Amino acid sequence: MDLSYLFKKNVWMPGWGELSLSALLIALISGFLLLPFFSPQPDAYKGIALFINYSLLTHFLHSLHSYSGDLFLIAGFMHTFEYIYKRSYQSYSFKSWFLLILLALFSLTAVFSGFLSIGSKESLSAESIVKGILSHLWIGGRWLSTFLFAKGHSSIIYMHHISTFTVLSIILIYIHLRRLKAENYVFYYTLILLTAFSMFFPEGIGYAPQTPLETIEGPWYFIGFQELLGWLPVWAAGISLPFILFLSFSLLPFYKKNNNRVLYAFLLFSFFYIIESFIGYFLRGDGWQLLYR
Amino acid sequence: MAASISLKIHLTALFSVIILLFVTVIVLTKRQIDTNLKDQCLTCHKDEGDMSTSHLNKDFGCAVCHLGNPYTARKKEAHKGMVRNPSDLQWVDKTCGQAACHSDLVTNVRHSIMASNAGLAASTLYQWHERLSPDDSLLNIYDLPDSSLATSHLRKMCAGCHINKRENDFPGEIGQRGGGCNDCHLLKSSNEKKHPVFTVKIEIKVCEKCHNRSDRIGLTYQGKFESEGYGTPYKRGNTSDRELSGGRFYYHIVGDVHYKAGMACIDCHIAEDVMGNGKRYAHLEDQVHIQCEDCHKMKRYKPKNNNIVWKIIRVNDNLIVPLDSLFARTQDGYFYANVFKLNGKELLRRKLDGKILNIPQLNTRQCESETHERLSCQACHSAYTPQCYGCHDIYDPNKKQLDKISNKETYGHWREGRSWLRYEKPVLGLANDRIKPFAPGCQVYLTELNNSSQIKRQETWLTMAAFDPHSTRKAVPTCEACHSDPKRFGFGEGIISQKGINFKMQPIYNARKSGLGKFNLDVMITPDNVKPQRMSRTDARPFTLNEIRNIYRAGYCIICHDTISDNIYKNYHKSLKKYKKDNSIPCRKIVAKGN
Repeated sequence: MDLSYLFKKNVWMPGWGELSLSALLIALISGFLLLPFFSPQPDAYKGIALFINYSLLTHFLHSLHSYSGDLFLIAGFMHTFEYIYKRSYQSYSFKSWFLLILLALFSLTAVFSGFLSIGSKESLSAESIVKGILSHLWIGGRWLSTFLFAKGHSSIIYMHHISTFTVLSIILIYIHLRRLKAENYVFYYTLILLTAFSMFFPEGIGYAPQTPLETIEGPWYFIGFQELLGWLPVWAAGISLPFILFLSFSLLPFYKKNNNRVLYAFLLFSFFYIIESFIGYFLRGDGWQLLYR
Repeated sequence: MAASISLKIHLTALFSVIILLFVTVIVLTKRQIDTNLKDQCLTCHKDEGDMSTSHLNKDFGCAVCHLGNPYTARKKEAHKGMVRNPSDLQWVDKTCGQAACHSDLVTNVRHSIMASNAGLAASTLYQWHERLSPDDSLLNIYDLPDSSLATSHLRKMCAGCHINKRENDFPGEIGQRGGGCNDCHLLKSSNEKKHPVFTVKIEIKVCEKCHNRSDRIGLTYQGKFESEGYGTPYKRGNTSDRELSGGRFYYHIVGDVHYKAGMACIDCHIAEDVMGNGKRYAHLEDQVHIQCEDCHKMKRYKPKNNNIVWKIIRVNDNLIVPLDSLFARTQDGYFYANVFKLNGKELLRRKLDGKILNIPQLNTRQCESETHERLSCQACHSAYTPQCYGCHDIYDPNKKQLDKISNKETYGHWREGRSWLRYEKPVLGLANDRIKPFAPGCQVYLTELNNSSQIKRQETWLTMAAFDPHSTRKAVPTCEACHSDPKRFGFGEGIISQKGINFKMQPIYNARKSGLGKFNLDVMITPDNVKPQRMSRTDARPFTLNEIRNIYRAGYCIICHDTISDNIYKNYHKSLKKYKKDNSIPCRKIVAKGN
């Protein structure tokens, strides 16, 4: 299977890794720039909505922040795909590879915690899903739930978003910084793409918490997972499957055979996840019921 | 390689300039946000009228009711998730019913009979032999599955009234119903762009919107007699103004005495009657707490400071009531905001215009006579009762009809034929051990067609129901009108005679030859003690033959003793004993001769 064209670098299509890293760096910078405008409110949504609407600059920065997070996930996924396609994992020691996987996980959490900290209808719904999953995690679930969401303090997840997960993301960036330095134009390239996108398609912050909605959908990367939770029990879809995925990725350096099994498994899972996302996005209606019913 | 590096350097410089330009534009563009406003909706809607004096825009803003995003003035973002009708019961918990506003009232309304239609649904299922009891306070018409003939009938013919439904979901009268609180409280404006006004002064036409069929109290109260379908859309060259929904017409007859006094429904029916009190009731009459005696045999009480009655007085500028007034109260302890005593007089202040009326107190001599202790006020004071005999329902499974719960056209079509409609003296019977007027409720002649549109099944389910017709008058029927009238006994219209203890009836028409079945439609009990009709309530029944004999026997006394002030009625039971023992009493001889 020749998929090398997906990863071919040129001036207009830099490497996925550089793109992903640039996006993360932009998210980090725009996040720092937004910080002075934010004043915490008892209603998280109000806090975010007020500073976004404070000026066009804040709204632009928020859009930039949000889109760079999305781009980071897309480019990060393609970068992972590239690694699996080229079997690059075979050249890593388990320790280095595991560190990468761990940092990728934290970066994903950083993006998701940003979504959760908006306090919109969709965020609150996603939060309750996460809390539900954590309540099924028999070891450390309750502790993790309190650590992330702390009862009655809507801004705790925001604090994690700007501190805990950001610090971990910085580590990831630091590891790769030398690589980006060599291709610094990619950073500008990504920035101009995201700037234009943010200017012409300013990002909203979702529905207000009181809005009556028939179906509440999470962010695009979460819908597949949401759909999966509709098919399988929480212990399977919410706990076992992510754990198996994490474990499988972590152990990849030990798989030294030169065949495409890992690639096929990765593609199969990705295809399955895309189908799940499609069903969740287009075919779910009132009360998460399938529309044809 | 060198060319590639040079290109990248040039691109970097170009991108930097473009970004700088972007940022300059962004920084220099100002956004209009007025932080002094309650919400940013008012940036554009600053000229919008207030909903009511208790809901001023400057204090509440828009989003507290209409939701959406109150923190932005950009239309698309601000309108995201907005609701046009905040009081729709599907989301009312987030609007009118939120914790800081009217959560208690919204809970009451959700549980009320107007939202559930529990009585209507359960009674129909019971009458159509699909349920063993007509009492189920937990039933909600909104949750009924389309799984049987009765449920299909309810969903397609009856579900257009409950306030859970969306407003403007159907054309015509049905579309005007529903929408939660707004169904009653909103004064709709012809100007679509102007915000409608919210009111607590509910006019009769609002109640009539729903209460104009079945027992027709909304019509009867105003003296509207629904014709049997012979109305004409034209009158003296113009369109008739006496048209009801569904192509029906009406004639004017005598209205209720309260209507003639200018009173609206809300002058008697308190908030708890209409919006409920949080309990789930099985039937409409269970949710109605008021009784005639509350005003006409008034006892007065002082409401506590936190009683809802003060809020009702505060929001209705017509209700000017001295704060130290003593108010009338229902037996369950709910206060009337407009019925009180002042300067030794029992008074009612009309809620729609504030006019004061004197409330006559009841004549204890007549109304509390021991012979009439089980009589309800309505049994005597109802001028007439609307009676709708026999209703032909035809079910055709091959045609589609709008399901008013799912808002979809589904298979199964109902057609309802007109019936024998009368406004006349009622049949009397007992409900909850009180003698009350009865009327058909309902008498179904069902024809079910099969897939070839041939008759598959025919059923006759006759039911009578007790109710207050809302045709109150001060005058009462003469004594003979009750004590010698077979219709009021439940024998049906006709001529009655008695031989020994047995009655004989000559009915006014022949039901068999008319194709109606064995019994006339107004018969609740026959002289042979057959009860051809079901009762719509488990506590309702026709008079027993023994009770009818007692009533009829009093008719002999009435020939001479024709007023309630007659001495024999002062202690009727003592008089009866004397009559039985004392052969010298002249009337014994008359009765003996009569027999």
